[in-house]
Amino acid sequence: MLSSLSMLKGSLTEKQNEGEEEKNEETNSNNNEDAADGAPDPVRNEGTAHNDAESIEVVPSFGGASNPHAKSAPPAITTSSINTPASAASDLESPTRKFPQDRRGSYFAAQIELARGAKQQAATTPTYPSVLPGGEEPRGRGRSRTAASALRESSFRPIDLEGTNLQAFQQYVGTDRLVQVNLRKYSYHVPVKMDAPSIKTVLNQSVFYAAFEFFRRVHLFCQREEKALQASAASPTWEPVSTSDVFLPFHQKAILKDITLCFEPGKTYLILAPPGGGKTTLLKAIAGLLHVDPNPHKKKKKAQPHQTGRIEFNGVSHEVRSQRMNMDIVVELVVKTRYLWRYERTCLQSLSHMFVLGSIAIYILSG
Amino acid sequence: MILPNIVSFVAQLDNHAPYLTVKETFDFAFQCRTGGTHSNLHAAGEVDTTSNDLSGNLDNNNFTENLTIEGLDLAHVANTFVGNDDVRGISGGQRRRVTVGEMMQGQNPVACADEISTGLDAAVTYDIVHSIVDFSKKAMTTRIISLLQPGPETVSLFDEIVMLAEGQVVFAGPIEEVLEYFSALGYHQPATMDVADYIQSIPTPDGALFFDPETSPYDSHMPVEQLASIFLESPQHQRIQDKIRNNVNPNMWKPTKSATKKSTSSSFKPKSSQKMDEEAVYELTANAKPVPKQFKILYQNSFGRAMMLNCKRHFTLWYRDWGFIIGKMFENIGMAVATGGILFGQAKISKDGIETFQDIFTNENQQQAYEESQKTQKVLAAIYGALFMTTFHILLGEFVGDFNWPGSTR
Repeated sequence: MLSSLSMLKGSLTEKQNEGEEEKNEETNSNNNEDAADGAPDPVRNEGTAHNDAESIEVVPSFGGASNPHAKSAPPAITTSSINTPASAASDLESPTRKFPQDRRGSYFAAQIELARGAKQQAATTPTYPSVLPGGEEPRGRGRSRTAASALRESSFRPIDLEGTNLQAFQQYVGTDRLVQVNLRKYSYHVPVKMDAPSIKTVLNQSVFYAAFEFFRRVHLFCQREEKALQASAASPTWEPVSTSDVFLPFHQKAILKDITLCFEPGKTYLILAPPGGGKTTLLKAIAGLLHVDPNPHKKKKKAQPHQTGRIEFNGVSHEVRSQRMNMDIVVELVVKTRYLWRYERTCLQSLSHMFVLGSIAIYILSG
Repeated sequence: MILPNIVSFVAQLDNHAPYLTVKETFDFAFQCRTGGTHSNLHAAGEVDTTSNDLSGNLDNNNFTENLTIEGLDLAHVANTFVGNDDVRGISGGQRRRVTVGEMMQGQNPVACADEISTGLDAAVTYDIVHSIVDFSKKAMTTRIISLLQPGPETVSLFDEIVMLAEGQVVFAGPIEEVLEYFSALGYHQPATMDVADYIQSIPTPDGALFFDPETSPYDSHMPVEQLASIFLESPQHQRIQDKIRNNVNPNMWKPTKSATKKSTSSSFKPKSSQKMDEEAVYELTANAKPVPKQFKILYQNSFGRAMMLNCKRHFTLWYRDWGFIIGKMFENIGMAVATGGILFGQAKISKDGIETFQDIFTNENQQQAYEESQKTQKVLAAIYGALFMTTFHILLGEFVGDFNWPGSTR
């Protein structure tokens, strides 16, 4: 049963090694017929062994160089060694991976290099061909027939076409596009409502929360000297320091706090942080995508986030909300009202149509 | 200075028009971001015949587009639909690459990529980051990338690492110095743990597991604030301070008039230390050059071109959604037959009555169109966010696409 199934699979997936595999499977099933029940799932192992002809198995090996022809290599998992526990363990340790043909092994090669302590140098070999290999005939703006034929002729040619290699591009672009980004003591604060429920229900409890919060703050404010004497560790929650803090409806939470960084041109930076550490906020701040209150000292009904410090691009700081604010407002007003209007009109019209339809139906029924 | 000309932002989610191919997606982004030519990238005032030839060469060969497609290994799917949950297209990892590549079309000097490895395996992440780093080295651009759980080989590709915790900088410096820095503080990497995982969990309570009080000048595992204050006194931070204060950067720009005006306006009162910093900056940038013209362009395309681009895009999206069109045609024909059946042989119905019937059937379609528009709105939001073009252009193009063409009421 098992052998016939595996034979089927083998003949379907890979025709070249058919004879050998069959032999292997036959001997395997004959030898270990009784033990086959307790063995790890043989079909799955066969599935990994018989990969598609296009993909290539790469068995990660930290000791030596990666073998691109791992199919014929001894450590690759074969059906003849299914039932031994050692091979099952090796199966767990070294999962086979599929890679596209052109990128095979680069990942594991890097791992091996890393294991040897060699740092990967990114800027050593130019790998970009300038054109699409074997691409379709390009259509559309700015691409004449001659350009299309030139593209087809020059496919698979190395990058050194006149004017299309990156060095020439760099010279062409010049030094104008070298931008250094500096962050000077940049902080970003958002207003947080203390202890109030974040999920608002139909029953409005905010009055009671406000009253409770007020008396709690008064209590904390009166006790602050005693607490200072006790010299305990800083409490995790916010505490009022001055009298004006008692009446503050919100307290400002710092998402980014006094960040001083320098991003130089030609370098790549990795940003790591635990979840909620401010990765996205920092990136958005640099890209100018944060919503910021331009006048933090102006009184408003709704508290808004604000920022301090500077973000400089070659010494010029980006002024918050110059063009963007207008864009946002226009987009929100025009797009949203447009769809809302459309939707509401639909609802209203369907109501009126129900009325009209009903009257017609009554008219027809009554004769 | 228009910021989206300088910085591009790669978002965490992939929002694309599903019925455009990879190449067309890149092409649209390139047209919107640069106006369709490479000539804008050239430094102002240095245009001569050779540079014109060069830009023409770049344009004819679709330099940026092909470079992105090749660099991100998308050549074999260049003419495939991008797709989404409903439409069959390229795979999730390839869609991620498209998101990255779309934002590379503008050849921006700075790019922020936010968690581009979400949903990808380590090998694909390595590939993408490798091509980004490779390109950034050659074109001298800055790339700031945040990753979740990158493998050690991916980490080793980067030049510097910025470690945040609770909004504060815990470490920022060359990648070679990270482990030394933290081992000097008494944290040691376990043999079973990846570098990134280990560094990332130092400022969390789990960091106590790596702490060894015998090799450390401190008694116990430190909270984030203490780690941040320690970093402020470290040589790495001193180096950053020097870079900013001394202004080693040779390409300083003059602050624009509006910037100086706004910073001295009365509405915003900077703290004393900050004010001093600003004054120092202005002194240093006294003999700097003005902001290049190419960063001051708000909309790269003219009115007519932008409208044509949008109309073309919407028409393409409309006629490729043939399942929708055919379904709508059958639906409308069926409804017409049904109405005809009801009204056949009845008394005279006024013109208004017929129009109301027409409205009833188009309304159902509009309900669906509303849901559809909710989907497309996400795609548009991505474009708005990147400031590709004016709202008016997009709405106009959408209006033409939305027009009641036979068979569809989108």
